[in-house]
Amino acid sequence: MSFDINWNKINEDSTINQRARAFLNEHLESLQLPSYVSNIKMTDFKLGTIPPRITLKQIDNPLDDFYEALRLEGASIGGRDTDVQFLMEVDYKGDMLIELSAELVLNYPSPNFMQLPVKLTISDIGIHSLCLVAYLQRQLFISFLCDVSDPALDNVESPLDSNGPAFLGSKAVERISLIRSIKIQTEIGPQDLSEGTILRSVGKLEQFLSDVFKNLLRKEAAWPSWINLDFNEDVSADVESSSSAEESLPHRDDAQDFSADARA
Amino acid sequence: MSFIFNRETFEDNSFNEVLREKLMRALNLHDRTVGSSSGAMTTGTGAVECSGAAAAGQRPPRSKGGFSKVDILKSGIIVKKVEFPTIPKLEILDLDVSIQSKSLIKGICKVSCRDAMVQITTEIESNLLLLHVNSSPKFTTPKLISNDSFTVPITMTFDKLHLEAITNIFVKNTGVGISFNDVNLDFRLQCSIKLLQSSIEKRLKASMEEVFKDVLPSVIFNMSQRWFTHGETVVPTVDKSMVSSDTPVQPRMILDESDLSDLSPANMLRLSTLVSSRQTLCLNPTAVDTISTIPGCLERQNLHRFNLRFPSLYNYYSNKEQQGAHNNEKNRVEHLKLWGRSSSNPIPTRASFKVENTLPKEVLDSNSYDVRVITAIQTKMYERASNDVVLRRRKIKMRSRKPSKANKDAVSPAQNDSGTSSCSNVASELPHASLQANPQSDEIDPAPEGGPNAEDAYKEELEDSGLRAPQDFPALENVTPVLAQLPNQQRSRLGSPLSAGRPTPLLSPLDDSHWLLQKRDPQDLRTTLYSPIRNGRFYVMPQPQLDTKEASAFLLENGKRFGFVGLLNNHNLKWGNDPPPPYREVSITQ
Repeated sequence: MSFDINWNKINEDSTINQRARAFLNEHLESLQLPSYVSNIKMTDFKLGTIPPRITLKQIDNPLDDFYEALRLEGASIGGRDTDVQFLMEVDYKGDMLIELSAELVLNYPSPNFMQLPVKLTISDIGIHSLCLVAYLQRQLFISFLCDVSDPALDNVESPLDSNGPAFLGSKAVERISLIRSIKIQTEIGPQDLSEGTILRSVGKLEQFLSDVFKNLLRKEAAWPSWINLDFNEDVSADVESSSSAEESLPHRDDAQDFSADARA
Repeated sequence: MSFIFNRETFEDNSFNEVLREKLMRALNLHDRTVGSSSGAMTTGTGAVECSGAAAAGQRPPRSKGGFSKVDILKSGIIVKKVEFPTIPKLEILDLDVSIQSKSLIKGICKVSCRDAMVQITTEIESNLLLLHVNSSPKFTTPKLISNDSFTVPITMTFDKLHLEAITNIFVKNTGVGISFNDVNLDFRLQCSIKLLQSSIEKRLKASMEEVFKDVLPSVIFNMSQRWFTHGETVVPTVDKSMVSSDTPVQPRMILDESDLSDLSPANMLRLSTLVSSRQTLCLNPTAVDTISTIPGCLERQNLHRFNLRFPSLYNYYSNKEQQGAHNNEKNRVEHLKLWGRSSSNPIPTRASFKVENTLPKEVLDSNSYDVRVITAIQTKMYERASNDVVLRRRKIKMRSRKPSKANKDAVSPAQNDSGTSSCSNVASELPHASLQANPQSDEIDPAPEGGPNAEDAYKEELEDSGLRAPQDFPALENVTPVLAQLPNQQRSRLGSPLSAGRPTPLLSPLDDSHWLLQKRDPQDLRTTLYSPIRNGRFYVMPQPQLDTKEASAFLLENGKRFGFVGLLNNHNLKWGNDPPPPYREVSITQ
């Protein structure tokens, strides 16, 4: 473990969880949601008591792929003296807890005619991967390379699981799962009303959501995809305005992704 | 009560007004075109009863064939009043999301609604003195005839509508299907013409079953289709069938000449080989643990094992993985003990089926990995798994005006494309990786114009030839190119500078995976789909052109048709040991 994370500090400070929740809530509010989802909120957030283990494995020159991508963008590549690439092993088997609530809305025949409250509790997130962090030309690239075998995360199911693997054959091996384990608990129905029932733990739905979530992450952050943080000053005001105009687009894009995934 | 209805909507009169208008439109639309989707305009759970009752009201005249032409209704139906004083309840009892097929949601819902009220008014023709003078003899004709139209206004009020039903709901991406079970419907009818009240009520109640079985589901389905198609009017399927029934159906010839001409002789040969291969008199069971028991055919249940042989982290770093597997085995035994089972209990390990593409921890710890190799493998796996998915490389500007909001800039499609191509270039830049299954790589590309066009053309050619593997059979797509890449001199080159100094196994689809080698399968798993030439167990049918050119060049240039050419196996014709056949070009001049 290369990085010594003083996780206790975080735990002692109770405001950190609150602040993180507030920040994430703010971000969620700023999202432009599709019309059938409203009121998405993070009702609970706990960082947990177990810190991630981050180990620095390698320091090297950045991969050519990054330069290639920059070149294709039309960026001129300057000196490579300060460029550096870290290979890190990220191991997280903590007890982070996220509680989300949202409402599915039917806008027919009148707006906001009918709502279905949904609550999700996400926990037991397990990650053990190699992560590539490259800094070059004032841009930061983050990409998850591959999973690392881990007895705690491999074969999570018990050997007695009756859902036999006999028909797994159709699926090709996934190149990376990134999130090796995740537990999503669902509750459908209003919390406060005593009448009627709340539908809890819809297994198929949980499976579906975790698949969507995993696929999204895999698509966005797993090699050969990556996330690129650009620390360059914007060249001109035009670029900035256009980018801020586009701000809403990616979110809608996300929503479409989601629905596309749901359809697929 | 799972769903929360907007209370304001129900307290507000405007909602009732909206419903009233919709209902009225629907009823009158129905009046004009009997038989078309009845009440397609009425919607929502609230409207369920209305359209139900309304459709039921229409039903008796419709069921009397031909009566609708001389309808007793003399004016349009006016919906006077719709009231929904209490909020309906809709409760999900069970929910099922199926992941495999096109997102299908199945739900069992309980609907309940009470105290609703609908009042409709119309005019009916009710001349009790009507005489059919034309058909009756003169001498019976009375002096007083009043055959003029005599319309009577009628008002019907359905109140105390009470509905409870268990419904099955299916949501697909084409529409919403709904079926009603256990319907419990009750209402009170008040008719302004008391004489007719009992008769109408009886008829309505009799037709309720049909309403819930047939009318409502079709109404809701049609309506939902409009939602899902974003307002495009969908022609009711009933009409389509009527149209098609007008034109006499031409008997269609199955397998006429033209159909047969589509099947290439090579395909036919292959199919017949396949069929005949299944016929065996062998008393021994067919071999286990082989990829193909029939030469050249990959059986469905072996597809997974076949897929496992693609280069990936788990078979590339197989040496180390073996130790890992050993550890896993230990863990498993402990697990079993925990479960109260003896460790010798032969439960098949998942490991043999479910292989995760992970970098073994031991490799990581011993630093015997190479980032570039890993990236190459991952890129290759990505390309194979997702042909059409665009690469996501988001760029987030950190120095924009609002630093708090992560301003995600979606990479433009053009960049995406180039990004993808760049990552395929990666593989070609790494000669040792030799992962490139595309015939694009420079050494073997005989057509120097190169580029994606050539590749596309090549793919088209592949598709043209009847032998192209089906879509869900990704493995075979690679067969020909891999074969094309195969020449031995290339293999020697594979010892790359990157892996120099360390005896790392070669990362090449051509090589047998070490993982499999270490298994020491008695049946010799090396079916060598990848390397028939190297293996030397094949006799490639000599052909004059083949001698002059490299095989790969040949495949690329006029690879219009690939044929299955017989093979000799040198294992005394024992099944289970046969390598699959080579795919080779049948000499057909273009």
